[in-house]
Amino acid sequence: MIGPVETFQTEAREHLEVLENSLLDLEKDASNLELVNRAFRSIHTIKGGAGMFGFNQLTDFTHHVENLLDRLRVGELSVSPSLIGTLLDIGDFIAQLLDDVAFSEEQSLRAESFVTAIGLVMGGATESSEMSMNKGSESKGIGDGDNHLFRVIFTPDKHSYKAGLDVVPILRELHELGKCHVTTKLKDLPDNEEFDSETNYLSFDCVLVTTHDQSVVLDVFMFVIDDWAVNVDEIDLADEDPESDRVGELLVERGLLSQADIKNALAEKSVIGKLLAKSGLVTEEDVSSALFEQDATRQLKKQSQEAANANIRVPASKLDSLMNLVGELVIVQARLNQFATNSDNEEILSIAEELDLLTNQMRDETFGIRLVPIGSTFGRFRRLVRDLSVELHKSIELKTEGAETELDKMVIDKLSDPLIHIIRNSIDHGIETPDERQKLSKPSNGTIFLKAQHAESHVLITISDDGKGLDPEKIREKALSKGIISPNDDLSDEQLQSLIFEPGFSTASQISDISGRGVGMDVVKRSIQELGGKVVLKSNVGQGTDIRISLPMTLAIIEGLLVKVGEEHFVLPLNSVEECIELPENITSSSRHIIVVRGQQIPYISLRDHFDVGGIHPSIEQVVVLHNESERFGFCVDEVVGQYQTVIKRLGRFYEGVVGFSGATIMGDGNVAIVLDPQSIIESTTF
Amino acid sequence: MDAYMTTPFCMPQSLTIYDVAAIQSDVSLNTPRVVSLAATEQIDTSGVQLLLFMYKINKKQDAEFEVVDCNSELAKTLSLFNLPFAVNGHLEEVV
Repeated sequence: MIGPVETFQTEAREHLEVLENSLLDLEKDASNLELVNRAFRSIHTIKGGAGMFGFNQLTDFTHHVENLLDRLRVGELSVSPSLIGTLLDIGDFIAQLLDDVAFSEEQSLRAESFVTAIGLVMGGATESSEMSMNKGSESKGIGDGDNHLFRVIFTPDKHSYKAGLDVVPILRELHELGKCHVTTKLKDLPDNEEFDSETNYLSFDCVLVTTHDQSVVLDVFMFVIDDWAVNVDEIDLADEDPESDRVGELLVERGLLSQADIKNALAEKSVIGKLLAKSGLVTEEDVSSALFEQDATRQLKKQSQEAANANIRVPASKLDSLMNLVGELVIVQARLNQFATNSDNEEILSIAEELDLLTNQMRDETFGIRLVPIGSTFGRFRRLVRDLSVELHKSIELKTEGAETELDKMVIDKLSDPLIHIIRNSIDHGIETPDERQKLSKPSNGTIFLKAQHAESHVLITISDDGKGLDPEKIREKALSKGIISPNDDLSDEQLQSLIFEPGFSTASQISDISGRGVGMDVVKRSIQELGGKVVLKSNVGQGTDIRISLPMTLAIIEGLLVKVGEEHFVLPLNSVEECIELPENITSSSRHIIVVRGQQIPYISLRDHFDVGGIHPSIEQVVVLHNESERFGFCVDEVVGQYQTVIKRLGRFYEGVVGFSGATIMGDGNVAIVLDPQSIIESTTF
Repeated sequence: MDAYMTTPFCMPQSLTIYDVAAIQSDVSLNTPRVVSLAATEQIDTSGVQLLLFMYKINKKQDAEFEVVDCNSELAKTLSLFNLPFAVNGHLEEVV
């Protein structure tokens, strides 16, 4: 998104172009007043924009240029080649200033010399000494944060001065709050002997652009609000009525005119501000203040519209397509990297490295686009819990945490159904009825807690309830009756509880409409595994059940560690890798399969043996140490090739049941490397 | 043109509620067109109002009014009011 400051800079450059063209044309056609007007308008707009953004030094400088062009406009000065030359130089100088609006020492001196030159052309001294190059004051103005626009109108009591109440500190405070345009109104100030210098006749009309709210603005008048007439109105920037910020309307809103006055003035078909001022209905100050309010309102409205337009909706299919293209790009990048490494050509290597950096950035940005907060899924569960609770005469509250946790959109979409299954099971089988809960001295309201959080490169989703938990004995009986286990199987409570993930298992003695058809939890587990995730269950009888789902943030591309066994290449997910160590010579991969790392015994398996890869063991083997949530383990390989950006391709339905693989990837040389799922390899292996 | 009017009228060190009444009597009869604040160190809103009064009298006569020799601190205070006359040759706002 282009920020408001950048927009100002771009627009100012366009105005400088208009200025330059106007000046060049003016040199040839000195009598063309329209060209002078055009140049004046360009500088006036740049000045206005600079002022709005609090670039005070630029505002001051352009103010001098504007004065010079004004003299040209009214015919007090005539066009000369030297004047055009000076103005063209000034245009170049302003272009430089746009790049860095904080004046450097050198730029300040240059500005001073231009101001002196302008003074000489105008035939009088200018305020060069007063070029208030207010360093450090550039930050105030429109464009910082969430702006509010206030119309602040106040009239001090006529005895204020004698009472020791001064307007200076009030104005100073208003200026400190943001960009403040003050109009000192002289309408009631006598211009004859009626004037009493100790009586106040002034009133003030301020347009304030600030990030502060109304209470802060009102605080400025804390000590005088009882005695002075103070009016602080916030201007509605959300108002989309194109008529509402017209000068005439603003003057009506300020109570200075009626609609009829506007209509009459407009009948003359000229600039309304000038007409109204001329007709004496309002003063020039009134028009000036209303004009400033109009400018500020329009600029702020434009900014908020730009902010609103900053978000664009893109079909998900386009994002998928972009992701696929990035995946292909990563593969080609790998080819290029390999070619560059083999080529021994420094230039190609350098290009490959640079492109690699860009590809990585592009990959990360593309991921970023696809990440959406999981809270969008949480929302629909609230309704589910409510409806099912009513249906089952249970009182259940759903609590959520971490709704802002981001996950790949595709993962979130596919996660929805498994989560619905789990929540339905909790409501149906887990949480007791209010009567049952009271008998168990539990609060009559049951709670389901849904929590999402980031854990390393994974997202951890926990669904817990305070229901009756899973009874291992009941599960054993059911598993026996379904033939899932045999009477001789000696299973721990945890193993028994995990049986609910087996196909065809159901603990509900009566099948309900909600769940219990025995197709729920095995589908849940499979869906999570398809997403590259894991599901772990912990349950305590009488206390409740915790189901923890760990998911990778994205499915398409992972950072991997490429290893080699014989002629085969394998990729291990880098986020699980802790370190790589050489297998000591006295331990061969066929012996006990335990390696001691800094005093800790770590079990490892040989991938050569596990996948029955042919060939002979190299003299030095490597062990890649990996970790899961609870333990460390190693994979023995021939060679660690290095870090590898892995675009995961599905193996297809034919290999669906194969344990240990999460996909495959195409390497730079066109060969295929298998992407391993370390957790499932460990689970399927007995050390 | 009366020379008195274009010769800068020098304001005293203080241009506040304690001084304005006396100054008003000095400037009422022949209102100067140029006011020098070279000696002025203090000003409050009543002082600013007195300057505006002089501006308005001059404007009635289609004459320009300006303030000169104003130190930077004082100029900063005056700039808070966005005054319609030039201070040190600098006009706050082009209307």
